[in-house]
Amino acid sequence: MEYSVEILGLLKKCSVKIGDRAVVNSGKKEYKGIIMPNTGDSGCLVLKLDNGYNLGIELDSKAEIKKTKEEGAVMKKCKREKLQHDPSKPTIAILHTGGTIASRVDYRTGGVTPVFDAEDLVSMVPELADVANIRCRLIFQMWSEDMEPEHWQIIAKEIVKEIEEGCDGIIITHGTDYMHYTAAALAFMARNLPIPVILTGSQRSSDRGSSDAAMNLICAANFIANSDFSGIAICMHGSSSDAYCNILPACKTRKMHTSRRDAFKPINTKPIARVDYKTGRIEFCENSTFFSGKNYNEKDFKRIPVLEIGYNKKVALIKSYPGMAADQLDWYMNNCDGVVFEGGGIAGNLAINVLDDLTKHHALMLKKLKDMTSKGIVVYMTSQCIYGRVNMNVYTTGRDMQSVGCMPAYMIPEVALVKLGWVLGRFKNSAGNKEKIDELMQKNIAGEIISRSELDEFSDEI
Amino acid sequence: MDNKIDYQKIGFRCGIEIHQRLDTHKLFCNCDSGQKNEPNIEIGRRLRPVAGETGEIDRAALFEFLRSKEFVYKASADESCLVEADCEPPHEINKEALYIGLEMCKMLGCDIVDEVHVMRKTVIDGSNTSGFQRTAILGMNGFLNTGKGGVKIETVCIEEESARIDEKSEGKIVYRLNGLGIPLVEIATDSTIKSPEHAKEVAEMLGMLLRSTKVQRGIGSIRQDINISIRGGSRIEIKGFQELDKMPVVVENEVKRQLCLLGVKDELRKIGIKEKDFIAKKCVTDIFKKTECNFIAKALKDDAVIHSLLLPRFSGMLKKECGDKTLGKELSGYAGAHGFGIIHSDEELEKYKLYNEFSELRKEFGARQEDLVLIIAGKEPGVSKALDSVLERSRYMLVGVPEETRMAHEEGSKYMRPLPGKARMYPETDVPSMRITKEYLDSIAVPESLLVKEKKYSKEISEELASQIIRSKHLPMYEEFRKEFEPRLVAIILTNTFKMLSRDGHDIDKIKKDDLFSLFSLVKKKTIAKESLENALVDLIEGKPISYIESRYRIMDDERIREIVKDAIKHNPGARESIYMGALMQKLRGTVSGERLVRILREEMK
Repeated sequence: MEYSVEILGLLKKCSVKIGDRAVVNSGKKEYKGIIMPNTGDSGCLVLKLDNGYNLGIELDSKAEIKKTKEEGAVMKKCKREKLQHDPSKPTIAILHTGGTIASRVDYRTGGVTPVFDAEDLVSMVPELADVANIRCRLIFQMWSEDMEPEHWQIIAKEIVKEIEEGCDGIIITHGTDYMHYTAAALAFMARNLPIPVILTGSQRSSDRGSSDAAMNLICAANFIANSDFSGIAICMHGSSSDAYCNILPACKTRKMHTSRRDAFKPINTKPIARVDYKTGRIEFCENSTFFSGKNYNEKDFKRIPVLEIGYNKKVALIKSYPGMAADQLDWYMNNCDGVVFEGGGIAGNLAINVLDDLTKHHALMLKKLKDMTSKGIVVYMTSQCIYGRVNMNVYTTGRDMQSVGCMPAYMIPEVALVKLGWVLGRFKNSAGNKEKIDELMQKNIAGEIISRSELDEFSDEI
Repeated sequence: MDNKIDYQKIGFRCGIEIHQRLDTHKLFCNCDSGQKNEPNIEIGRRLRPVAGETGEIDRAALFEFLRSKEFVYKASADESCLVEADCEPPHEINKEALYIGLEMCKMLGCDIVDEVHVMRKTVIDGSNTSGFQRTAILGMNGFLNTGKGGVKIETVCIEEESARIDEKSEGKIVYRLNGLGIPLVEIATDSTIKSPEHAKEVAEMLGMLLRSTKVQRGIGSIRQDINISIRGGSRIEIKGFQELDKMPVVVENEVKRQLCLLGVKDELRKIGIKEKDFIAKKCVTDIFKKTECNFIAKALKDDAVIHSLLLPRFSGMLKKECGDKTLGKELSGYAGAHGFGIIHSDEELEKYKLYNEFSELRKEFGARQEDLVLIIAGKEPGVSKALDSVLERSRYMLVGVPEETRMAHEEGSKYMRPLPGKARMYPETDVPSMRITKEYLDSIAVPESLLVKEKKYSKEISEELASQIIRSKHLPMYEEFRKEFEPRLVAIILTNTFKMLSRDGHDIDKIKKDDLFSLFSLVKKKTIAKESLENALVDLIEGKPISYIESRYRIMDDERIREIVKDAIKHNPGARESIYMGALMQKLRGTVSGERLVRILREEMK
């Protein structure tokens, strides 16, 4: 946040800049320290005392600031050593898209700067160099919530570019909040990959000693170097401890906790593998449906990647709730080519039944659904239960919704949305294409649909 | 003892840091600060050096240190939450803790900050799950007046308590999470404390002021760290004072230790000893292969190796007094920090059955009579580190006093670790800054200090009792009860009687405040006699209800007593008064005052 006009004016008048060492006379008391950027909220001047503490000073009309000494001291640079290429080790390309998987704290100002180049990254996470030759590239520097489908397309192209350049695996660093959307999108857009592409991020920022960032990176690198997996996956902490990371299927994973290190959970399946941090041991979960569904592809450098990045952004994800007004569907009707509902229970049930006076307007909901599908909009139902299969034949509500053209999508709602955008990028939603669209939606493309629900998969235990 | 040293002349500088736990929930979450359940959860973590520390410390060494350390946090799931586990950002700062901190600032006359900014102080020993301790400055430039003179209060801060070590083993430290995050107020004086006695006085007065507010009591709730240096010496921090009475002698011995080390330095320099004259010889294990010394033989069987060191012209020196210990302890402390001991040629080698081996070792070194040799035995890699650290410490004898953190021990202190560098701090961006408005500050009343209270209560219950009660954890109860009941009686029960009952093995914590109130009410209404209070308290501890106590100790009327007295005389006619009294008092235990009984007895004996 910027300082108030008054404070900025005073700083200017006294020819003092942020970062200068100064004596501040608030009008009442005198303080010595370094003028800090504004990190407060109430119009005080923030000063860093010599003992390291920051405090806020209220300035009155008589306040004065006097610069005492030019603050030339900048943070000393890390000792950088040119990375030597070791032909006996695999090469991993790290593509940064955002978040601060690696960052440096400037203790003078308290500022945090992300680290993007390979030398700096390896100096911070030297274990990476033990595992592989590292090269780094910055693609974006953005929060994951700001990512657009166009960004997915760029990342997909960058993946193929790196493969063409030659490497044994790719790590994509990513903000965590929407990482599972990106993972799913990449799984559809960049298929038939010869090598592993692992997304990772951090739940605790890397400016603290307890950050999970380094371990996630190290485990991802380890997995790439020491397994024969290929394709897209996510690598994040498997428990609150710094014990192991889970390798999670791109289309079957969801961020399920706001703050824990092990926020990412496999949904309706198990992790692909577990990487022990201390020993580096990789344990595959071969009894999972990811394997039985034949979604595991071994590394094969001869394989040619298939890049299909077409995407139709006119798709939406709508969550239903009690009291939902059918009118709001009008906007979607006029602006979307496809819609995914996150409804209730096993069928993604919506409020379509008229039972008494209070539920009369539910008739409109059914009508709107019908209008949507007759207009050519494809409508898919998923469940806000998140866990469990979608089956629209179980209740009359589900059958009624099917009768007006709604179709089930047994996928995590977010994945259904991404897949629908990708499918509609290939086929225009003309009447003639409806069957092709649904055929693709119901077909397993990238591990998003699994035909069996196993007894023990409502947990992440291996 | 004090008068032997002229503290001003030797450039004595001394300051105190006090950490006091507050009696409120944790600073950045809503967990209780008095957790005591058995842990049922374990979280394993590792810490990494945070970039930005580059250039200031040996990063590679720090990295290696952390790489080899695993931290385990034990917690009870129903007591500790995700904040303590560093799995959730901190909540807003505990407003009550902030209030108490500001009370203290006001009591010490500090300049109070206009806006509080919480900082992260980097801590990488694992005692904080996050890798830093949250801390904020509240006040500066306070003042404390004591009998021996005043000291300036440099800072008053509010911060998180760190986690306590449960167990430690090679490569792994286990912490308990229950202490982490308890609010602490940290008060730091400047270094103008004049003498060891003055240090104790300052610590005592600060403690009294702190206890005038809502703070935790009992073991571990307050900690004093002392910083000491003399001219030519170095800053030494001593932690872990168990009792304040020991403080003066510990401080004095630290001064003597520094004086000794400075003397040794001068001596060594005079005879021209150089750093290179200190020689290490690794792996002299072969010399000891056939030793008759039991513990060395046993260690060797366990794959230990033996390293050795020659200290030039040191023969006899390690017996030198250095504070309350010997100069030899200076060196063995450094080996001890790595878990090893040393054996040197100033010791009785015959007793250890090591005489021949040391003679051999001397030949190996080409040592002169006046040189000292020492050995360290143990397993690699630790034993090499211990040797390096003893060598470095020995060489420092040429420089003077190394900066250290030491632990109070017996009459002095022992080596803990090198003094840490200046803590690195950066803003805690997850906690918004807080404005301290004038209106808010004005609403904080400065609590009556215990010193003022002591004076006030002296008048109503005697100086001695007042001094006891204001130091007692039952002070709040006293302050409440004194308004209703006879203050002296309340004070005696809460101090002497409680102490006595505890000594006899009774758990006085089982006495409920409401029951105690009822008990005093019974005395006030003259239903029971105050003499029966002690027995009644034992009954309470044993779980008897008030109604039981009321009927058990009900004061009897004169007629009933007279009958019992008559009965006693009839059974044992012609006995002396004291015999009757003894028997009657036992029988009537507490239900009648002695005075009344004597009166009735005398009337009947006539």
